[in-house]
Amino acid sequence: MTIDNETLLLLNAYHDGELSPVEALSMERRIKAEPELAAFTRQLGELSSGLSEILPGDPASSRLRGSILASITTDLTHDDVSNEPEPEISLQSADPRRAYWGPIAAALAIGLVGGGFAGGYFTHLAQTETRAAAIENEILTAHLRGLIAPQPFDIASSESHVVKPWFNGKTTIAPTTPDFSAQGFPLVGGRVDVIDRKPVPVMIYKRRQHTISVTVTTSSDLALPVQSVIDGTNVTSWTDGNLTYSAVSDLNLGELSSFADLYRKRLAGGG
Amino acid sequence: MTTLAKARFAQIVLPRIDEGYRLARWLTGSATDAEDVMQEACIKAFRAIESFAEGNARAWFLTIVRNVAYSWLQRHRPVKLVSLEDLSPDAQQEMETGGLMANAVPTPEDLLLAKQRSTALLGAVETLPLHLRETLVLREFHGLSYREIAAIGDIPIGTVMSRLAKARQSLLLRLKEAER
Repeated sequence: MTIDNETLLLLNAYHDGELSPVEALSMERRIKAEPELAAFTRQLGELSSGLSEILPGDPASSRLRGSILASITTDLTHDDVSNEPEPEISLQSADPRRAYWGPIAAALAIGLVGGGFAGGYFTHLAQTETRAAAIENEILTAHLRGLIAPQPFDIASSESHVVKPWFNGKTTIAPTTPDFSAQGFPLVGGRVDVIDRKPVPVMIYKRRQHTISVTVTTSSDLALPVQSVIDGTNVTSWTDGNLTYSAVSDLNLGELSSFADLYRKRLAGGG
Repeated sequence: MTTLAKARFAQIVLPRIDEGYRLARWLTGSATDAEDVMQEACIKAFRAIESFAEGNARAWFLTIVRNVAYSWLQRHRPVKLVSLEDLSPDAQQEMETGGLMANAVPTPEDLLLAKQRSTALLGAVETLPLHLRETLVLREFHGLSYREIAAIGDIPIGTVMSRLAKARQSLLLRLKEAER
């Protein structure tokens, strides 16, 4: 009636998707044969879903972001950083220098994202940003429309080798369609959305009850915002070659960015 | 130093502030302390950003946050660092003789208890020993692999496995106690 220590470790690793295929297979057989292992596996599952509700909590406040940017800029203004005493780390700091650098830090950040503020380029930049926002909006709308439909996908399959060829002839983009079941983000299907008047591939993933749409566009020159929240839905974008991937979901930001990291790693040929 | 460092900071650190903050929040146990830790960690990350070669940016940043959180705790609350590597023998035994709840059929009462359960779980996570809590949060919230967790804590993978198993057993045990 007891599970030995070694088995407990293996069950945990099985639950985390960390076993090799061979080990996982033999563990699956054992779980089928021994009801107490099955019961424990179920408990682990319940525990994880309980934890995923309580662990996220509130995100970092915008005040914290602001003061981080401000302190980075302060850091820069010191001539010799290594000989300076540690900067005073306090959010309530009344240092006037910090207050002065704060807005500049914010401007720098915007400059970094946008590319710069020079003459006629600015107009071009503004247009590009508006267009990027419009495209992000279309991606979000398509995701929400998908959620309203009985199924958010046109083809249901967890096989990336089924989903990927399905896009042939329907769009001109051949996306990478990895499956992350082991990490808790199973691929459930694909669909075609029309973004910027062009048909583009969309992969659908699940995380518990949440749906994640990954939309692939060719507009890599547009620099979609890395992360944004629109009416409570999170959008995370990244580029790979000339393709831009946007993951859209009502999933919390932490889990969505770990999904994005997994995806990026896979695109880079790792993971 | 400046332009490249700023660009890399914006690319590598800024998108991960939330994640870092969650880790700091769980390690220090308070939102205010987490903000202090994050501020210090971000300055550290910024100063080190040019020496960071291509690689796992996420693990790199979380390692900084983790180390800053530990030295912060040592400075401000040395008591918290007392390590409880093992569950008490009583608790161990209780885990082994337990299993009554495992076969229980869910009843409507269970559903009413769900809310209480998550409060109990929250309390249980907060009282986990620091190193178990760290491993648990990196796995269950950040979704990192054992290898990444091992790299961040600078511990062998075997230790990650045993810490995770211990943390989960301890939580399951606390939940059972709460339901009694």
